[in-house]
Amino acid sequence: MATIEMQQVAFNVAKPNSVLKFEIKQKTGFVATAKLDMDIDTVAKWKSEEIAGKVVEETLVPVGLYTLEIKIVGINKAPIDIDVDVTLVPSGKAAQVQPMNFKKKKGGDICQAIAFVSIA
Amino acid sequence: MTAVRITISILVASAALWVHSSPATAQVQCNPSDSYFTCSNRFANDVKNTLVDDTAATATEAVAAMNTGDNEESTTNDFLPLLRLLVNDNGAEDEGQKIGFEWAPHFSKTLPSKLTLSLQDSSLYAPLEKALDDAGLDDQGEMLGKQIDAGDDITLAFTISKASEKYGRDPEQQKRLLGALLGPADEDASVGLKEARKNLGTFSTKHADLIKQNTRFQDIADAALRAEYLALAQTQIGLEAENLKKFATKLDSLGFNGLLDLIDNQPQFTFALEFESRDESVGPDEGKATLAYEFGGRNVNTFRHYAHHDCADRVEGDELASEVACLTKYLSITETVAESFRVKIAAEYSKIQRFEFALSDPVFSHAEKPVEHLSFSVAASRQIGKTGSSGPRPRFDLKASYEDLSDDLVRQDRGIATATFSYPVSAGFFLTLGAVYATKPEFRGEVDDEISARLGLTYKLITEK
Repeated sequence: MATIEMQQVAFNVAKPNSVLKFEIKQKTGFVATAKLDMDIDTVAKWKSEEIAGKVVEETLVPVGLYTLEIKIVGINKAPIDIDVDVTLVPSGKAAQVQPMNFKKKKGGDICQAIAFVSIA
Repeated sequence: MTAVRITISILVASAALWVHSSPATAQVQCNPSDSYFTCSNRFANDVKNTLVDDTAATATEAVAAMNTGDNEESTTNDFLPLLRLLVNDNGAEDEGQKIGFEWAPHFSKTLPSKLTLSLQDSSLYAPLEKALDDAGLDDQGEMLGKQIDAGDDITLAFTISKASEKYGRDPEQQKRLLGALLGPADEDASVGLKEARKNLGTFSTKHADLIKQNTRFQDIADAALRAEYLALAQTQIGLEAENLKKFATKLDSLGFNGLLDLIDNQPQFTFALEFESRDESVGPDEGKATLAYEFGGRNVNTFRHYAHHDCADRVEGDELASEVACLTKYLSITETVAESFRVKIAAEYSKIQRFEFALSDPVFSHAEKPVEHLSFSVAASRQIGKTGSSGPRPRFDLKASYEDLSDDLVRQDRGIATATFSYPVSAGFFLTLGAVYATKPEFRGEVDDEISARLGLTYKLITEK
């Protein structure tokens, strides 16, 4: 039985040159894709093998609203928990971490994690 | 001043709703006690229920359209990978097992293994019960039966398999292709959704200190802010759910779920060692070693061969792109005769230890000699008729086995062959016609010929989990 779950977080407005990081903590049991939009234009895309179990970093320079969208699809029959950490390191300030957790996902289940960052 | 701000905010929120309203978004109604998370997931749940209904109906249809054969031929019923079966609680419950402990000490990525310790539902050992009855000690048998609990039958099992892109049924081995299907399924969000995200994102980042992941709409004291947030969130939730549903549909149409089915047909080697320790009233201890090779004719390997060599849409010099381009086509092609077969070859050795049971008052003893058992079996099944037809398909099952029980001269070199034909007669009901040949028919019950036939009805109970 396929399920859909979406989660969303927002960071405080930050200055240009802030760094956005994200990590899907588990390495197995899913495939994923991610993209980063600035306002309504897509500025970066990642394939499954580039993000599963890895920390991905992107420096946000131009001013605008950035939307990070991560789609995760389960592939195993045995359910697994999937943890996504999104971190913003504002220019010259301490890092802020926003975790999102998707519980008991199995083959065909779809999860979407969204993070908003405003650079002004 | 405050009143003016409230009016402007409500107008902005109403405008946002009006601009982005669509049949999907109009249905989203978050409660004041909701957070973004609970509202979006309740709505996604409603959407999910639609999907679930569709998926469940499709799955039930698919199972109903599948003739899983005679129950006695469970070897070729569905080839559930052994490793997965062990982690599948439902499967374990079906067999009256309770898994107590499980550990996966993978020696390497290509040799996945699993160690399990399970407690088995148990009862008084049947030959012992009979011996007690024969000795006029039925009450002793009844008393012993009541003393048996789950800890009286413990099984320790170690299973190892081979895993690569060509062998094994672990989807991890096919992640390159599964991941590659996400790209074409993940189309760009609509302009409406992007704008809804921008509106909500701009609002949420501006008020990030106020709006956290679990903030309920009613927690926002400022009525204008609350109304604006609610309107922006409802609009975005509706469009997100619509977009995700489209993604799910596209993913399925690209063959993602079909590929998971092909993975379940991959060739698989498994080697299992099992030791069952039983209390003296439950039965003798038993050790077992099993080596099995099984495959379904239509699997990821046969698909790859098609995609790299035969598919007209293949991309020269790019195997992965060819696989993505050709998967849907392969899944829609009628299977060949070879592809419709499922085969399992297995060898099993087991040793049942010597059994001794004694009572001092009243005096009673019962003993059985140790028994060694060696068997080889080959089982094949084939669905016949058109693939993709709406009704279940007729199916043939063939199984041949050879058994050798040491210390039992009569049972040595026993051969059994069975052929079963299952024909669907109505939803869930199958007429089965079987023939059994045995070199030593006296061990098949009340028969005295080498060959016998049987006719019966099978009802397949489909449970939704």
